Amino acid sequence: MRYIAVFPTLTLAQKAARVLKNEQIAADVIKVDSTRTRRGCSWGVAFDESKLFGVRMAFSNNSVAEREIIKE
Amino acid sequence: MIYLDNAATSFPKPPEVIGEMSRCMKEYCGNPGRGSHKLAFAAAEKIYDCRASLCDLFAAESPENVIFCQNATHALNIAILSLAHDGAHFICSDMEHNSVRRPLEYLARERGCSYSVFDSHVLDPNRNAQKICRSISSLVQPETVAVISTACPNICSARMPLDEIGELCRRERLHFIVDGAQGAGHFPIDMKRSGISALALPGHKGLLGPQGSGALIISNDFPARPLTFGGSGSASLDAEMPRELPERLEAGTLSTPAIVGLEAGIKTLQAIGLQSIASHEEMLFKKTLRLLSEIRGVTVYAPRHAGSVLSFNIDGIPSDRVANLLSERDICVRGGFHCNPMAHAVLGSDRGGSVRASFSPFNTADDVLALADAVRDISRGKYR
Repeated sequence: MRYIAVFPTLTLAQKAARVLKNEQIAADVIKVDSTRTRRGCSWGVAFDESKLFGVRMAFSNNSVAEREIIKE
Repeated sequence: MIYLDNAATSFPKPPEVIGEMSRCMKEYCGNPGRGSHKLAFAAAEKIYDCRASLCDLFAAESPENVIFCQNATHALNIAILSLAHDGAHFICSDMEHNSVRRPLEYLARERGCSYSVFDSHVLDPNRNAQKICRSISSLVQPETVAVISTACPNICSARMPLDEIGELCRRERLHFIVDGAQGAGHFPIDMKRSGISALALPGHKGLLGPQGSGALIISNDFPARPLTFGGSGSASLDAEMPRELPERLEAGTLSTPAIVGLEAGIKTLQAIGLQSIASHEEMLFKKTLRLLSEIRGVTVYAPRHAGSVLSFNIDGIPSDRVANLLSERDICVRGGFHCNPMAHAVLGSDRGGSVRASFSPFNTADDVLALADAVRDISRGKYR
């Protein structure tokens, strides 16, 4: 299973994905299913559930603020 | 053809720029930030690469602070109009292009703002940062919101002391807007060190990219407001533009071919090295100055400031006529006022403007020799 870290814009999702890449965490930038967002089109970074802790640490250390983390 | 009009737009473009733009158009030119298919993501990734490169090159705070624009004028308009409110006061240098002067005039006429012009002491043989900063300080009012300065004017090569002006702005709690049109790609500009709040950049001049590319880079505390409104590919159900940068300021589809061309241009100039470029252009300036100074009837303006731009006139011949005569010899320069009447008034060339030769990393000493030969002929009446 994968989680998705949701971001309000594509650019912020790309920035988050590059932070994860630098931390050797595999992640894909995706467009989040519109039915799962409140404001319309949103973007996210999908990663394996086993990496959740590492992702949270990486985001925290690099001032990346996701809107929420949801299950894919 | 000898091209010496690089201050208007650099030419030729590096093959890498042309190659990447062509590859984009053929292979991956989806709409970035809209769909979720492979071409849309491929384009978006290339665009992010360029944001990251501009962020690094100008020591910005983060890639999302890089807002793509059509050109430096577009970027300056966003920056200046963002700070406009009834009673707001701006301070700009006496070297500012119409891309600064006209927005300020508009704000003064239509939006209850005002502006003052500071003396940048370009002709003062004892010019220094302290004198310039004193000029600025004397104009600061309680209503002042920003100082606006070019990094380097477009009709002479007098660099502005950005670090010192930035320090003054920090002290006075003013925003510092810099027009990087003639500085970017010619010498280093460091937003953090110079305390720059908003840096306006053309992609098609010193950065060697195509026309139609440009950027505004802002600091985290700059209160940028959209100039255009529309689709952003995010928060589509909201009636307002998203709060987040850069999408907040980038309504409508970005020009992916232009942006990937800009990225290739940046990589090219980084491979050459900014210091090498600055040294090369200073060498060309000094050589041109020496050659033109030997010609009777030629006046070079602000000759003490060596850099990528040199302006001159030939006694008794209008600058546009000289530019046309040089064009007949396949030498491209620009005559006239260069959209900068304020600077011409300072330099004393406000009756008919000047002839401007402007250099790039690709010009050679032979180019300026040919220019000097042609100017000598024109000054002797050979073309009249």
